[in-house]
Amino acid sequence: MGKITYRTPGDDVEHEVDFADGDSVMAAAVNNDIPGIEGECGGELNCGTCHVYVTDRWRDAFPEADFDEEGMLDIVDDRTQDSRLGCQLRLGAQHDGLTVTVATGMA
Amino acid sequence: MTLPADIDEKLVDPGYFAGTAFHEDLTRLRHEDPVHWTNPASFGRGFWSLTRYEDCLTLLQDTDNFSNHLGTHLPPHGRDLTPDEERKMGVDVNIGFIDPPYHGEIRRPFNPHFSVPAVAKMHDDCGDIIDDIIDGVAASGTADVVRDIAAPLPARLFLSMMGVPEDDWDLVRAITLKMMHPDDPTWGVPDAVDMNAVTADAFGELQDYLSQHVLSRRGSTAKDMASIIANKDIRGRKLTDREASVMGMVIVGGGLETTRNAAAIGIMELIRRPEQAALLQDDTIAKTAVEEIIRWVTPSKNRIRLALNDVEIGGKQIKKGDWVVGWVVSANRDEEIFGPTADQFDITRDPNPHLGFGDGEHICLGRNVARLELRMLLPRLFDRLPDMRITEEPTWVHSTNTTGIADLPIAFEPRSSLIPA
Repeated sequence: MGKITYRTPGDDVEHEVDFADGDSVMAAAVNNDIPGIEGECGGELNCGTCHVYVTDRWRDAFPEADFDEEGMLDIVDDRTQDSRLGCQLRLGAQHDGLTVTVATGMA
Repeated sequence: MTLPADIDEKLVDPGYFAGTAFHEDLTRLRHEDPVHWTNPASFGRGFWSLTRYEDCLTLLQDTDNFSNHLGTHLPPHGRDLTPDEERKMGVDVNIGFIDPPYHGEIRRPFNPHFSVPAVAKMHDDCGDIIDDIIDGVAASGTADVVRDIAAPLPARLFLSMMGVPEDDWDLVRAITLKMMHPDDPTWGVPDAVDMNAVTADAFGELQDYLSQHVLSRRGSTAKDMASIIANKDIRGRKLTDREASVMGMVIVGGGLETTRNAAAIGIMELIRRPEQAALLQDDTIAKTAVEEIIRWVTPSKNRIRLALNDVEIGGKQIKKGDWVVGWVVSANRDEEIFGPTADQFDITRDPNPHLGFGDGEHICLGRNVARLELRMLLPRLFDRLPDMRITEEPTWVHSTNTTGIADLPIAFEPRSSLIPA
């Protein structure tokens, strides 16, 4: 269990929600209706609708993006060095207090 | 309600599915024997028929227990494929037939190209094609929804995306029609003795065509999908010639027929329900309408899997090696999921967790292209031609898998072509 905060740039609102160990950043968002994270494919790494930015000290709290995640990140709009796909970020106790920013530019 | 005595034979009879009456029997199956051992003599083999949503979802998601080795859907006959047929259908490299981890290895690199952000970039091209299609029929006051509207859209968008020369479009479409509907009087070879052979031959023709088309793109830096297939980096290698040819075959085979069928039936249902068609100009409702059409039509009625282990579903013991068919067309009307309105067409339905695109790792690769096409076509068509009326009832496709109509004549007040404001 822990808390994760999603910052939505459109309205600059911070949404703090609970997550269970093993949830992904995408699943915790979808479970709480966070705007801008659709999770259309359910975490199969094939829709590109859970693009988030993970910055600063949190960047190293997750394994690096693998080959398939890199391929999807090449396609999403507004990719930066902080870009990740929420479905690939598995949450545990060490992520309590994490803040991510929801990417914009999705259809 | 009781099940018809000949339900097993019906489930493998293409003509039985030409219409909508079969839904009543599937509802009975869902209620009375949702994991039904189906053993029609004419099919030459027994298989399990799953008709509940939850069981179909398990079948689609549980790749540890269920293999794609038999392909995507129930074949016309239960006989084993010959080695030559397996080659034509590409079963060793076809993403419709292979399992994890190999499936993910060669499919995942292509997922980004069909993702939501990638497909959004097709918006303008799709809109231009739609406007041109409507312009093409507006002045005459009559049209055939299938031939003139629903078929040209995916053909033009998808075959352009694949870089297939326009001169070859009719050839490719004729092959995919036969491949997907071998039994159909209009599109298939209805007099053929062996429909599995008709299907395999069509696969072979399509594979041969795509082989020369895709492999000619080796080394190309063009952005068309054939060039992407030919040159995509798959963890430090490229697809082999055989993998690339079959990938091209699968993508073309999947892109044309299902979208046409969903669009045609969706238009028909909306013409019949003008009060719902009037809501399509709301973009939110256009999106939920697309999901409802996919649920309602379920363009591909079933998915087939091979049991890899002994496994229990719904109290029935499924044995390793059994064929298991998930009738997603029934799952998509399951009252347990869609409630008391499960058998009603409602374009405002939300949420709508239908299985029309499948689920799990094999979920339809091109689903977001289909969504884009439908989401853009329907509002524009009903805006331009709001007085469409059906002048003849449609001819339903004969197929145990494909839900489609072969024609749908309509009439409307003739209008001039679109002049952009």
